Amino acid sequence: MRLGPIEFVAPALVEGPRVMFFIPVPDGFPLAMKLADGSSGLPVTITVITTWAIMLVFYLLFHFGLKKLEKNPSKVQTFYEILYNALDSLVESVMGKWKKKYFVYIGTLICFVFLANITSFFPIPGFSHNAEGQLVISPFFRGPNADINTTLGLALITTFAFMEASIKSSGVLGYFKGLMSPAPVMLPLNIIGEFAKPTNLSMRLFGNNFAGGVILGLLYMAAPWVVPVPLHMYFDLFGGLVQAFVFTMLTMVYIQSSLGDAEPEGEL
Amino acid sequence: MDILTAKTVVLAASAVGAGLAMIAGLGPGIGEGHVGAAAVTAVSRQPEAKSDIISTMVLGDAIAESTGIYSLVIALILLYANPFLGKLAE
Repeated sequence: MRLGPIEFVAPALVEGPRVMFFIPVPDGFPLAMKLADGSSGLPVTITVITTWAIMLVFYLLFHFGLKKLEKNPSKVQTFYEILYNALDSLVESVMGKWKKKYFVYIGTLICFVFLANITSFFPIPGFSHNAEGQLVISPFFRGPNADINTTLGLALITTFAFMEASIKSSGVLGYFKGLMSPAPVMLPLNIIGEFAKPTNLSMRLFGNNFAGGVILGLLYMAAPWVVPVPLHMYFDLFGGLVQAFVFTMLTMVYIQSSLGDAEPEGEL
Repeated sequence: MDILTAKTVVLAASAVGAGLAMIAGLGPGIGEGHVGAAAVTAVSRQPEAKSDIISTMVLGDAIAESTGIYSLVIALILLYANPFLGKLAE
């Protein structure tokens, strides 16, 4: 869409994350790609840059919001206290006595997944030049959960968390005995069940964000003015909150079910 | 018959496959209907617990939705990021 000398471009409907720059590494580095001039580089995609931006937003919000803590809280401090109490009661309701050990991970997880889901709600323009030398404005950030790498990474962290919890509570041999629990013939089915958990978590989060983006992209091609507004609120705000909540609840349920009846040791 | 190349067959089969994949949209519809019915019964028995029941219902909805989302991802991959065309070019 042209507006005077400026061209507004919407991103393609379905595309992978574009590579922004390469980190130069020595030859033979694992996972490096070969560039045009023969050197190797690690690709850094727009997903990684958006995740850095979310980390920066977190740091700014929590550092400057909690500078002065007083006994009679101001409005900003009341907001943080409400958030903390909500997360506290959420973790307490599922995990009970293990709350102190896992609160840091679960609280960060739900806040990060929620902020990552609502990234496409805020359009930050990125400027570039097209082939004819005109200024092109298009959205710069792309939701990190629209890339399966992010969601798979989060699901793998959860997988390591519940595997570590079950190994700590019953030992390595106890973990394998648990895989053979009703009868040794159940071993393949239980192993597939263990692999199904991260697949389930990552594909649900990825599918919701990716498909929501495609549906909104199709709607923008059909009716770009006013009509997408309620669908943006539904897909990004409501859908983003629900998916963050479901990811966190499933994480807590998996960790709690592999902890069983164990008691937390020591003063945490 | 000269337009019936291998690429045409692959594209046609991908379109049919994407359409067949979306038959899986039946499952979440029925499942979430059951979840909603159970939530309505629970609210009718105990109207004070309404917000707890509604948040549990939304949680059950999102988990029941996942198989529908898996089939939507397969359909979108077949339509827009078809892996078979790349294999055909080799």
